[in-house]
Amino acid sequence: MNLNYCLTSVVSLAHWGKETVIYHHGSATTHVINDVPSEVFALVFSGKIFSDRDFSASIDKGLPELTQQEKGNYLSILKKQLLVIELIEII
Amino acid sequence: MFSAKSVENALMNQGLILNVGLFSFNIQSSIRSLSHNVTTLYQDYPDGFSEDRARFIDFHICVEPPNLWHKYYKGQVQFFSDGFAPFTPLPYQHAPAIIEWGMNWCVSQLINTHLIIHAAVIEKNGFAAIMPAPPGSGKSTLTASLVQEGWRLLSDELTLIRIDNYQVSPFPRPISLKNQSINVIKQRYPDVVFGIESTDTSKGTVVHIRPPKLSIELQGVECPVAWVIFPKYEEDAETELTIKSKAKSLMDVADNSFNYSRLGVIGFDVLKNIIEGADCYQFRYSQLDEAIDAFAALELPQ
Repeated sequence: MNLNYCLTSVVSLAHWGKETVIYHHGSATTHVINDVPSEVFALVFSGKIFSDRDFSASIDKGLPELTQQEKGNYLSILKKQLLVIELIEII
Repeated sequence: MFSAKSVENALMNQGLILNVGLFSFNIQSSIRSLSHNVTTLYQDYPDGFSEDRARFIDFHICVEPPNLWHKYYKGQVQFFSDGFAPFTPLPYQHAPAIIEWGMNWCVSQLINTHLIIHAAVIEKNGFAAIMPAPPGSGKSTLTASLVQEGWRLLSDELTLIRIDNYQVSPFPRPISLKNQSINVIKQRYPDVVFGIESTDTSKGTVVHIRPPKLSIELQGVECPVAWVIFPKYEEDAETELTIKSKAKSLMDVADNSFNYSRLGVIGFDVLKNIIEGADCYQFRYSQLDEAIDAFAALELPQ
């Protein structure tokens, strides 16, 4: 299945090393996400609709050292995390 | 300097105008212990007890029994800000503490020109150290000691960070000490002036101490933040200053803020800038002498 996603609101970001703090304007909530490569964030925060395939491609670029299995696991966990904090939604 | 009698007269009539940091309070009360405490704790304020009624007053506050029932039967008084009572009535003998808690409430709940953090803040060499901590962390004991050792008191309870330039605005008020901390400070610093103790409060025994005169004289001098330090007193702990991640520090400061949510993205931008420019630490201690040395050894920003 190739689901599509989009950002639920404008966000403001602070990056420190591998840590990113996200302020979500829509819900006025603040979240910390660790160890996410800039390629993935560039996609998520582009404001455009993106798909599972786009997501995988960004992880391929950002974390080339991982095996396919590890990339799959990473994508699954990250997606779940972003959906739970309602930063992205399935459309 | 105002005499105790003139303070009492002002409190019982038109009100006593008190200028602390950026704010003016007009205080009214007929309670004698409160009058005594205000005279003791606030008499060093150079522009403190003012008679200038032409100037703008930020907060009109009073501590009085809410009605005759509470006055004569319950023996209770209540804090009012512009006629609004944010707290339930409390025993009459807590009046000296109630006025201090009420002044904190006014600024923490009604001011939005600053990001307001529940944190002590002190200054040395032109740079501020913010110390956010929940009650029971030893924050006030540490602050009371550090300001006796050369640090300038900017505030014991409320760190005010301007949202337009990220500088700390001083709000130097009496430092609140509780329970065992009272004797610790009395023994270490016998010259410190104590107000009246309020016993059996929800926080135990509470007393406020007069801020150092220099901190009051410099209450108009703002400064940038160089350090964000999360103190924690732990019995028998080794003194330990460890680097804390900036993301975690931002989240923990936000948790200790009164108006971070109210300010929305402005609050986030202020915090981002403060954390970006500051060294952030977790600080564990049990010995005040070692804690004072650790603060003295903090590296100044380049």
